[in-house]
Amino acid sequence: MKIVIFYTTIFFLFLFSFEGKSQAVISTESQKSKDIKVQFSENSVKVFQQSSQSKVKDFYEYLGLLTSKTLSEELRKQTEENIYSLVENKNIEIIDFTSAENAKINLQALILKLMRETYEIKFVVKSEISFPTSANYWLNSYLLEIHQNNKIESKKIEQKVYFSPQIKSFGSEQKEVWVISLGEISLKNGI
Amino acid sequence: MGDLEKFQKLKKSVLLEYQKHYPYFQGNWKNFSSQDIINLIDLVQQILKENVSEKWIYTHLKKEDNEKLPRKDMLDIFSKFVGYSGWDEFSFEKIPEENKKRKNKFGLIGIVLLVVIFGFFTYLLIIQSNKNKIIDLKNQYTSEKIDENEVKAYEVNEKEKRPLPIENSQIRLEETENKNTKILIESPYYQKKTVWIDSEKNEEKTVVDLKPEDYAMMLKTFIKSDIKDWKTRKVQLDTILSDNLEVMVMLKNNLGAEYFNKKEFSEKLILPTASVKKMKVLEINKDNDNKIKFIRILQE
Repeated sequence: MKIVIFYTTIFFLFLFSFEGKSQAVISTESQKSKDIKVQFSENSVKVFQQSSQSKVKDFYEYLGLLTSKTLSEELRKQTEENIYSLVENKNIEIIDFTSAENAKINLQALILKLMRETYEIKFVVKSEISFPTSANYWLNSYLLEIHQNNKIESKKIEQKVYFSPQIKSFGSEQKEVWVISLGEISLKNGI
Repeated sequence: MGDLEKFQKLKKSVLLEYQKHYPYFQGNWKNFSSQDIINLIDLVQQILKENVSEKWIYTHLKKEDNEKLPRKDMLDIFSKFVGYSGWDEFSFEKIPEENKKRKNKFGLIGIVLLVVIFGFFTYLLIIQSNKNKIIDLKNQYTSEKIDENEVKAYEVNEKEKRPLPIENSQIRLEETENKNTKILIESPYYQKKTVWIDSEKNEEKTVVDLKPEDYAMMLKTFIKSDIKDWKTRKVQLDTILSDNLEVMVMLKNNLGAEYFNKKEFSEKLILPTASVKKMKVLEINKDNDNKIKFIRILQE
């Protein structure tokens, strides 16, 4: 009886260790499948980075639209929806462009502030480049010009851009596709 | 006729003139005697008051083959002897009528030949141009020319599908050995069209009306639009796009693609940005309810 218990214990110990190993293997494999450098060639990554630069410009075009004095409530909501479609989540931390102190603020809060602005703002993105990737994101760096009330203020910005596989619904069908999402915004080098 | 030949003619004329004065002489320069020479010298002296030497007559007139033309002054004397003002008139005058007629005859034949050859080549050219067929593409509703960037044409046979260039809304087909040529015209904005060209028919131009795909044309308009009329656009997009829509946006050099569903793509077209206006529709597929279910786009 003792021998039976002994060998049974050994057997289950062996079984768990093997499963643990497979879990590690699976988690390593699943991590690798989300690694940009593993999944895409350097040239492919470059074209996705170029696409992200266009999305940054779209992001600021929509933000500027929020300050339009002719904006209807419906159009404001539509613009908000368009902005949220571009970003990783609604509460990404960004710079408060309406303040002189360059304080940090979340995106939803900034949108509310922009809609209350007295003067219309036009955001112009210049000299945008993308830096080499980390596992699931890269950094876009650019000069942001804030045109308001005949004044232009410039800020050097750094923005995270996430690129990862997601399950997306196309009506009744679902598919895993790689998605570019805009992330956190900060001043470059803290300046 | 060369000058030496003309001189031979002059010599004959001199002999004939001599015979007018001395009819009993019926010979030629070979049997022109010394007495005849003296008689000729006297005649020239009487008529022209010019002196001609016996030696000159022996050297130039009696000699059968003259290797070179005598002096001009002597030529003038004997040209005057036979009734001309001088050698210049004699040598100009004395082109035989038969040669003139021959020259004219040759000239006429040459002109006729040129006309025939020219006409033949013109005929060939006309026939050749008729063999090159032109297909004229037009919008069925507006009869306007189509944008060649939006349409592709192919010559299709059993072995291949060969692209054909479109220029100024026209497809030019070169002469082929095939009696019938199948031409396929494809576009995301027009219904697909197949045209058969009969090479034996003399028609140079065939007009092909392309029927616009309404929903695709609407998409094209939306891509180029601005914020104005965004509400109408939103409603229309909901109508023409299938709930199962998949939009594939091809990136530069076909190195990657992004995928958008109906909500995401509609948002882009409801509020078009600068990047949306650089989208070019390559392919549209519809479902059984005639709604757009797939769009392939090139992001320029």
